[in-house]
Amino acid sequence: MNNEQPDWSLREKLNSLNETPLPLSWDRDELWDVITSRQRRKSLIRRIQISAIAAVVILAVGGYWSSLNDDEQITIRYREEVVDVVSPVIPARDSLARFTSLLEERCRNKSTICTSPAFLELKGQWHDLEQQSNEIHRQLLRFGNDEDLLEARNKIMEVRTHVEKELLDLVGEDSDE
Amino acid sequence: MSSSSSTYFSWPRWLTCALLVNLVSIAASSQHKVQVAEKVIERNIPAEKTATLRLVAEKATIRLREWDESFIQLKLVFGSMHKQQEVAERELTYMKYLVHQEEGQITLSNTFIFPPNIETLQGRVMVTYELAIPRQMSLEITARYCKVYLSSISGKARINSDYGNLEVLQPTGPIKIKGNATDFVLELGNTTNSIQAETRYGDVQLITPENPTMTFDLSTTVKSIELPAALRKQGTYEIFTFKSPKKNNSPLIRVSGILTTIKVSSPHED
Repeated sequence: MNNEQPDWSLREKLNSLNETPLPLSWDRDELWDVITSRQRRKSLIRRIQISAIAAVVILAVGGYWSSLNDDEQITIRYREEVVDVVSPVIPARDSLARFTSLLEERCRNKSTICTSPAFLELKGQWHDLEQQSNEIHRQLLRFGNDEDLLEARNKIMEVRTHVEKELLDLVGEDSDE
Repeated sequence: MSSSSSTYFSWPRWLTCALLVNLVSIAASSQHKVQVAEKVIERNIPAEKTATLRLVAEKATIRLREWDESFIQLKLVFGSMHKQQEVAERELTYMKYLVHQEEGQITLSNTFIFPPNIETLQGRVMVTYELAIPRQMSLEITARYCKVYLSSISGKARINSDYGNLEVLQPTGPIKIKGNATDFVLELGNTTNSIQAETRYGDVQLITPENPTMTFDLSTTVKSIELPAALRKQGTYEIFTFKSPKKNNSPLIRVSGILTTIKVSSPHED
């Protein structure tokens, strides 16, 4: 075989392996350069493929290992129960308005008591309790007559009643200062 | 005629009886049958005792204890209740949870996400956490509308509770508690390290060991402090404030409250 003219079958084989045909050059060195560069590219692709397979294997083994340590089981179950009916929530807006006007009325002639730190602290707590009661009321609108929420509401109402009593005790009966 | 008239008069009597039975059944029908759908999530989470467990819970019952394993055992139960199973099943899907692990911190959390067109639940929903954690693991609990029960915990604990109940039995690690409208029951053991509790609008009950060796610093505004006679003799007691003399290396139990009744009881007193 002539060394200067490579075999056409070899040339066809090389072309079939690659999208771009070999350059139309019969220069031996140039041709071998092209062949070796394509071989390097092929070996790089092979290495990437091996690395990808290894990564998949490592992830799968890792996932299996973590599933051994961090397993999660979900079960759905059904049953029938007999429960107490919770009576509906009755808002106590009227009594609130009555208390506010009563306190304002008694404070009209008792500016010293009604500006004292003890009174103001209690009144601040009363407003805080009112806000908390509103917050629980909003939650009750979301969750309906939920026992935990009703319990929380009762607790706040109980403390608020106590604060109202303390405030009225401070301002005393409706008499002038 | 007479027979027909007797039938005529016997009918209302029967009707009256029937009505009475009905009325009694209505009076007793404050109970009714419901369908309960539950989703049980069980999970083991690897955890070192140097890690911190952060629990952010809403409208839940939490029962937590320690154990000798090196992982957290979580059993989370979502329950939904309604007369119709279909509704119970649907509302069960509104309950979500999260388990997030970061270096040195494990976060558990639950929440309720209603679909955009739903404003109010038709049934009732319940959430229960049952947790076993490695001994001496640190705890950070943020609870809203929760009942929290902690049994014999030895790690450092920080608890924040809005509306609910908190029961801490025989803790040995240092504990810091902040409460709003939450009732506390704190059972102190001979190995209790220290407790600092700040609360408003919730009552505190301290149960001491037979011969308490701890130092008490209790104060509250407006409500009151109730103490056993033995403790009253030991310390300075004014209205709403009680201080017992500081003993060397004795654990400090400090409770400060606003509109709070603090009650201390020991097994042989009061």
